[in-house]
Amino acid sequence: MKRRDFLVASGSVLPALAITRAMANSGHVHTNQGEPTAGRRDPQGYMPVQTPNGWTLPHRMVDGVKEFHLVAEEIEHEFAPGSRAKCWGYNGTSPGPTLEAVEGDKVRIFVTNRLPEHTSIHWHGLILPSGMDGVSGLTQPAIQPGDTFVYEFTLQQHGTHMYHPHADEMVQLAMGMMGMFIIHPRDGEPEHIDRDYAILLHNWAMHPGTSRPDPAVMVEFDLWTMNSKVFPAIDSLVAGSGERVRIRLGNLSMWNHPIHLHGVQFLVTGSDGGRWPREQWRSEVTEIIGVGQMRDIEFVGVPGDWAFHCHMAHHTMNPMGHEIPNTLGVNQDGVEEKIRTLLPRYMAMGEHGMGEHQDHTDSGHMTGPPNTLPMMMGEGQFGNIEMGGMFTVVKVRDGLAAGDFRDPGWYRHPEGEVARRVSADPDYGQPARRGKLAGPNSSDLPVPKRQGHQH
Amino acid sequence: MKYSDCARRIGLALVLVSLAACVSQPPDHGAEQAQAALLARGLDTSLQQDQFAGELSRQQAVQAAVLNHPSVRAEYARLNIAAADVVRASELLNPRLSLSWLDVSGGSNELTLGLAQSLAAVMLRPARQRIAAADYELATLALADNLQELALATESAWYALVAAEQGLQVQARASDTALWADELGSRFAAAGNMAPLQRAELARSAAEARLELLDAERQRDQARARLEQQLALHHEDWSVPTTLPLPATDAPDPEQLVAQALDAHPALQTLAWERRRLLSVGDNARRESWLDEAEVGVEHERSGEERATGPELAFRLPLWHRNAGTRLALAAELELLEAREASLRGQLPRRLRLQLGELSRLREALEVRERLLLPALAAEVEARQDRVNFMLDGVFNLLGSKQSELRAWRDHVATLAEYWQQQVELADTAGRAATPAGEGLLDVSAVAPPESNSQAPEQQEQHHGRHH
Repeated sequence: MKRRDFLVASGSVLPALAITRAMANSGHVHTNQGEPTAGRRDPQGYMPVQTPNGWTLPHRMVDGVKEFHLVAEEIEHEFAPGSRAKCWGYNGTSPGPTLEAVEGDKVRIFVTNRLPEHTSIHWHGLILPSGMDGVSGLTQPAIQPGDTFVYEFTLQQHGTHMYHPHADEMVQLAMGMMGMFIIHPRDGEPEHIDRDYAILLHNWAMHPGTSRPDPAVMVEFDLWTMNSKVFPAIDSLVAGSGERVRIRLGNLSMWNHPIHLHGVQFLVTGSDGGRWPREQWRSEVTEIIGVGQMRDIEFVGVPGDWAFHCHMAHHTMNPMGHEIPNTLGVNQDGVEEKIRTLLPRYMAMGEHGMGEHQDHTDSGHMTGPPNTLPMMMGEGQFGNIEMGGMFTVVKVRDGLAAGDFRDPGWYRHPEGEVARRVSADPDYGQPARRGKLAGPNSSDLPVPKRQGHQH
Repeated sequence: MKYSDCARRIGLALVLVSLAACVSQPPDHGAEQAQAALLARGLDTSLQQDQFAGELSRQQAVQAAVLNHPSVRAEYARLNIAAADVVRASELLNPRLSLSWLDVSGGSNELTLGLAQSLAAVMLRPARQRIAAADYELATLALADNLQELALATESAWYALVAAEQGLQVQARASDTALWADELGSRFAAAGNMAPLQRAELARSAAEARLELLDAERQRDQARARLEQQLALHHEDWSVPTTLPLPATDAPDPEQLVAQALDAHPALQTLAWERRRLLSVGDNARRESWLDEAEVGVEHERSGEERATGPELAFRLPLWHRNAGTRLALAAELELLEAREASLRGQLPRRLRLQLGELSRLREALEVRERLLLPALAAEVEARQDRVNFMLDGVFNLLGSKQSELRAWRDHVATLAEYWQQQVELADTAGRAATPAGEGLLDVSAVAPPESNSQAPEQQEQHHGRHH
């Protein structure tokens, strides 16, 4: 029996809860990869940031100075199983490890360049001496391959910030060199945060079939990532019911991203300028993160599985062609069979939409280019999720222990709280309908007359 | 010895000579000799008559031509003419009998009776026989050469038709890709998804593909007509395979081929026989200068009661000319022969090396296509299909890639056809009567499988119309 047939058949006889439980235990792998933080407050009073799919760089205190050591180097990075690339990052990963400190801290950051070319690091949004701003040629000599530079300054602000190269920036950003720099307020938060997530948005020209990002691309990108991962490899954001959750978002891609969270009205509480005064907080369900900008959003966890994604539809897709023929409404019957006599793997797709595509790619009989992810991926407890790119799930559960960042699996919906089928008849009910309905007898597009001017 | 005894003996001698001049048998070894010569050049013409129906192999096609072509009958007739010339050369002129009756004033009369035989005919007979024999040998060689020419022309026509059939098979599928793209284009346009410009581009490509197919069909028809003319069969129930043979792995050694050609090329053999003939003609001319119109005979006269009998000898005095012009012309012809032979010996190695070089280039082109181009295009089609699978590319690009691949295969067939035509030319230059056998066949069924029976009725009708 096909999976879809199974779903239909089982849906007709089992209550939603039973299906949910069955699917929740049916062997889905839910594994968050990010290095879990402690889940308890630091001695300096802040709740450590959790970087999905990432990690926080440890520091050491030397004479009252927090010392960090970043290494710029070439890495092997996996966007999701099935797509790996040679990228550039810091300390072995992209994004580089999150730097975390407290307003007023004095930091000393060593930067070793193991890249084949010079680099520098710009501390995006930080107030610091001009010579520490990291613009090679302008404020400092470039860090040559093999050299180690040191940056040293006192943190005069708090908020969500980023770091990235300011040398051959087009290449080095395109190759994945970036990281988050989180500065907690010295005087604590007006609302205590229980879970604090940091996500860096980016885009990659990882052309299908290749294994190295193309830095020359400015518009047509292939992968849209959260912390350099695409769905379904992006960690779920886990929270307990009633916990206050903050998601810090930075955008080092070349597009703006309207980030949308389902299930709650979140508050936008901060930006590039740090945490806003409470009176400036505003309630939203979608917040645009502009290029080079940061935003903090906060909400109180409501039980469930809640989609969290960019609302640019093609940013929630993995690689796809942007200029392919539009097959919607195209009947290829007869021609398809003829084409198969020469191209046995050809399969007409998309007459009724692209929803079927994931079935074909997941089943493996429609193989794609090497090292390339299908356009739509991910399977949930009710079927294909048909997403990619900047999409993940906020998973809120009751009774979750602090510091437990493990993926809890699919949400077990209470009985009667899952949308269900009431009829298979399209003429069901008496819905109000307006306008001109399209059908086989719909008129053609108007054709302009070409008789020329009549005098 | 009395004159009468002498005359009697001369008369007897004339009779004996006349008897000796009896007709010799015409030679009949020419056909076998030509057959043996062709066998040595790689062509066996001793095969039995075949039905020559159904699919004809290259050898069968050549056999049919050698057995049926009208020119072969003419060639054998020419050989028979040469054989008749041998007989003619052995024949002596008949003796001349002369009678005269004179009324002498006074009532008497004189009777003169003479019998004469051309001495030249007797003395020059061996030389003329040698010339005729040489002519016969030359006719035999000409027969072999003409049969060789016929065989190679048939091979050339056979290769051309096989190539045209195989090229048509590939072209049909290449054209299909454009026709399908056009058909899909109409569906896309009907769905409101295709702009007029792209629709027109697809329609143009489809029309061009139809023209390419028509051209391939025309070439096939022309090639069939050409081979049909060579085969000279009285029915049309014949065909040829649709797969060209692949080149043999071993290429001929140029130096060995040149050495063989210089040693035993038919043209050189012909020149040798022409030289031999000219020497005989020269010998004959030398004798003719002395013996031209010489006659011996016996004459008997009766005048009244007197009788007189005596021998007669008549010949021209070689005072004013001694066939000097003829001898000079012969010397010049010998010079011409030597010049032709020198030219041939000089040209043969150059032409052979040039053709071998051409053959080598064609083999290299085939290898490059086989090892590099065709796999690359197949990989392009596969990669394109992968991209289509993942919505990275569209069906029109996929069909375009397939069309490019099939066109490369069509060019591959054309290059292979050119290779075999070059082999035919090389055989002709080297004095061989057949091309070497290939190793394996060019299989296009994987990339251009025969059209399936599952096509729509209108498509089937369309294709049937194209292929017949």
